[in-house]
This record gives sequence, C-alpha cells and structure tokens, in this order.
Amino acid sequence: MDWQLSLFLLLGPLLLLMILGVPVVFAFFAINILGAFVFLGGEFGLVQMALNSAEAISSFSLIPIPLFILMGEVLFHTGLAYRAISAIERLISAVPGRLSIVSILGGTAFATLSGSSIANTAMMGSSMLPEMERKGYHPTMSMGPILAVGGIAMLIPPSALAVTLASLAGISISKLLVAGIVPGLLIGGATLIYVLIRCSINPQLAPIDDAESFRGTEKWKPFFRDVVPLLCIFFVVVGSMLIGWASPTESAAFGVIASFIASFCYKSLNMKSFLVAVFETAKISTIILFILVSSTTFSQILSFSGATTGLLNTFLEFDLSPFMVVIIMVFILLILGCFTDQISMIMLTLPFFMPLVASLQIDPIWFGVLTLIAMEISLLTPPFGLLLLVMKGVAPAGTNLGIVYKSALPFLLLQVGVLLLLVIFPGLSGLFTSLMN
Amino acid sequence: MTKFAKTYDLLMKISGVTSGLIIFFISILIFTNVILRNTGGFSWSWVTEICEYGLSFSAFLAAPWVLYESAHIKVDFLLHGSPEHIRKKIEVSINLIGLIIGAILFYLMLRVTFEAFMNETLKIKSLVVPEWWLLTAPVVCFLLICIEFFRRLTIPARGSS
Repeated sequence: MDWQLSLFLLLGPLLLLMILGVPVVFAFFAINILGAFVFLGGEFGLVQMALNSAEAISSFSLIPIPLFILMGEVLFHTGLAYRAISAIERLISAVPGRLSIVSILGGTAFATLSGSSIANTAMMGSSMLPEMERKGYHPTMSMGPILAVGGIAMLIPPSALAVTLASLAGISISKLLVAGIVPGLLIGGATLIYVLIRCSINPQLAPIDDAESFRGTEKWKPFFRDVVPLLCIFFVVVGSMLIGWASPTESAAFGVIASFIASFCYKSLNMKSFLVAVFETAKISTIILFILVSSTTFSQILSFSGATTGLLNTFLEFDLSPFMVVIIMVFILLILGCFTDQISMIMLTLPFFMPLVASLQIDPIWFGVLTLIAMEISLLTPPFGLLLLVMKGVAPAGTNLGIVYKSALPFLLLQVGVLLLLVIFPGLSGLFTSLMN
Repeated sequence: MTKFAKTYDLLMKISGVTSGLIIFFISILIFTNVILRNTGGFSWSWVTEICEYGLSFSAFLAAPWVLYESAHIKVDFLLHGSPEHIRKKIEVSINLIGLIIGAILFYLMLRVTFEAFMNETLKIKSLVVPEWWLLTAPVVCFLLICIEFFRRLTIPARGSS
C-alpha cells in the first residue's frame, strides 16, 4: 500500500472521530483496531495490539506524571497555596497594577510546586480575580496575567506534561525538565515587565490600591512562614536531580512527601483534603496515562504502515535547512494548538517530528523545549485554549469568552516572542542543562 | 436515584479513590527506597516493578470512572455548535462508537488474558508474576467502559451537554 494511502487511512478516520466528539483516547483506540487489522496482519495484529496496550504504561519513567500532579493537588486542596499568595500580596505595595503583579509572582511561585497548568489557573483565578474585579481592574490586567502565568506550570519543573512529552519523544526527562526553567522564567519576567509598563502609562487599567500597607515583621513574617518553606519543595525536587541523588522519578516522590510534610506542619492536612487531592490526582493522571495507552500503539502502527518514513522522505526531498524545518514544525504545532488539546498535539506530530529531528541532527532537548512552549501557547489560543475555558469557569458570572480572549491576547503575543527568542538563541534553554553535564 | 444507580455510583467513586491511593503509596514506596539506598546502603530491587504494575493498575482502574465523570478529553465544538436534535443524534453515535470500541477491546483483552492463563505465562523480572494477573486490570477496565457507554445510551451522562 502507498504511504499516502496508509497515512490517509490512519489520520482521516482519526480526525473525523475527533471532530465528531468521540473522546480522543477512544478515537485513537478505534484507529489502532483498524490499523492493527490492516497493517499488523489481521487477527494476529489485533492480539498484538491488545498486549501492547495492556503493557504500554508499565514504565517507571512515567511515574512522575501522577506524582507531580499529586504535589500540586496537595498544596492546592490543603490551602497552602492560598496562604502563600496572601503572604506575597503583603510584600508588594505602591507599584502600578499591584494585584496583577501579585498574580504573576504568586502564579510563578506556584508553578514551581505544581505540575498542572489547570490547577495553577483555577487557583489563581478563584483567589485573585474577585478582588481585582471589585477594585475595578481592566480584564487585560486581571485575567490576562493569571492566564499568562497559568501555563508556566507546564514549563517550570515539576511538569507532568514535560515528562509525558519526553517519554513520547524518547528524550531525557530530567534534561527536558531542567531546560524548561529558563523559558518559564522568561515568560514570567516578560509578563511582569509588560504589566508594569502598561499600568504606569495607563493607571486606569489597574486603579490605585487602597490596601493596608504593612511594615517590618508584619510584612515579612508571613513570607518567611508561608512561602520560603514551600519553595524548599522545589529545591528538593530539582536539587535532588541536579546533584545526582535521585532520578526524575524518585525526585517526584520526594516532592510528594515534602508537600505532605509541609501540609502536616501547617496543620492543613485532614482526611477531606487528603481524599480530594488523591481523587483529583487520579482523574488528571488517568486522562493523560490512558491516552498514552492508545498513543504508544498508534505510533507503532503509523511507523509499521510506512506512513512515517514516506512523509519523512518527502519532507527531506525539499532540502530545507534544519532551522527552516524547526520553524515549520513549530508553526504546525501552533496551528494545531488552536484546535486540539496538548496531548493530542504531541501524539499526532511526534511520530513524524522526532525522526525528522534525529535525521537532521537537531538538538532534541531544544526541540522539546520549543514544543513545550508551543503547547503552553496553545493553552491561550482561541477557540479551544484550555486555560481560557478554565478562566471562564472561575470568572464572575456574566464574563463572556470574548472578554477572556481579548484579555489573553497581549500575553499570547509575549509568549510567541519568547518562543522566537528561543528559536533564535537555542543556547538559552541549555543554560541549566549544561550544569547537569 | 435507583438502587442500581447508587451502587454503580459508589463503585465508580471507589475506583477513583483506590486509583489515587495507589499513586500515594507508590510515592511512599519510592521515597523509602531512596532513603534506604542513600542511608542504609541497600535498596529493594522489586520497588521499580511494583510501581510499574501499580501505575498501570491505577490508570486502568480509574479510566471507567473518568468516563463516568465525562472527563476524558474531547473536541466538542461540533457537539456544542449543533442544534438540540442533532446534538442528541451525535451523542448517541459517540456512545455507540464507544461501546463498539470498548467491546472489541474487552474481547481482545479477555482473549490474551485467557491465553496467558492457559499457557501459564510468567513475567520474570525481580519478581516472578503470572502474566494473567497483570492483564486482569485491562479486562475489568474495558468491561466497565462497555457498561458505561451502554448506560449512556439509555441515561444522560454526568457532565454531558
């Protein structure tokens, strides 16, 4: 069978089922059944596919996915994250767009403790948005910064999606996790500077705050009590990896235990918060892991059908430079991100992109970081940006999606700017990974 | 809520909590093992294997519950953008497709499990485990998924539009 026909047979029905609204994982299963029957040898292929699916996620390298999610959920549901945000709020006074700045710093701090962008945005949105609305903040300065930093959780370790991406792409999990730190901080920094400049030029965007001003101990004590100990969790996770004490998997377990110890020490841990945290962890992890059950076999069938090699060879015939190829791949990811979720994005593209990356000798960690940023941007791109929908869910009644879209736009452009910066200066993503070497 | 619905709801919730607790115990096990390795000079070689099986078991156990909660990722713009009568037809089609996929996978998983049982196949790593033990979770998973899709054909799903 021609590779074009194979590709059409596999991707055509897949996209059709996805557009129809069949859950992504079942759309992939359907194509796996079809593909296994056609390309892997009828009944034998189906049995092989079943065995592959049953064993697909029995892998130690995937364990950080649920553990990183559990870390964030524990801090979220025990209320420790909220305490940290109010402590940060006390530190910041007399700056333009004070609450927006608090959102950015708080969101970035929580990103170092949470592996989930959704948890980050939901937590910041529900805690900061009502106060900003009450004080008359423009949506661009209330919702925008929260949306912008919400996605940073995907870049800064611990990141469940970075582990997923690294596993699917076959690249070093620890290197990709560490390489995400610089872009994450760049996005946080760019967002902060943008807010400061806009609010200085146009103070009406964020009216002057009449919040109580704290001094001395009153100001700093909550910070050292509620924020500094939590940041130790981040250092436990990243530090144990950097000094070679623990593998990424093991460092994730350290993060979970540190989160539980912190919640226990703050007397915030009770049976209810514990059960809600494990319940939510089970839900989010299963969504990701069950998709991996179907995607692993899909990649194998795609490769076996000859579609991957056929498309790869056609692409190489154009004789494009590696830089151009990277630009095209990132562009495809950005377009795809407007219409589909992050996992589907990488599941659909990685089987084609990674062989291309290998054959053109492109640094896979750098490409992984670019993919992560494209995935983060896709959280904010209409019409289906996940964080836009999360924000709509936690925003006050009457907030329509149009307002949410508009508030995210400037920050979306900032993130595209950071992505371009990383494309032009690949060395930026390798600043911390070189330390590991 | 009928007695069946209550029991079913309870079964789904138990699946979710058990799945979460498995993840929690995995983290304790790994943490303990690293501490032992760095302080006691020894480690349990079976931890990696138990965690791998636990992860797989946790995901297969919770997948039907996630479906019950309508939480599996889907692209639903066609569903939301369609008039009521069309939407209902699309939902029936989705559930029917899901039921067929679930049934095929249930049959295939049952078959490989039965073959592993009959052939007494073993999984030999640090631990020696009969392979059919490990294949039981996917069998139960796809059976429950079939039940859930069938239930959705007759009763509106939780969280569905």
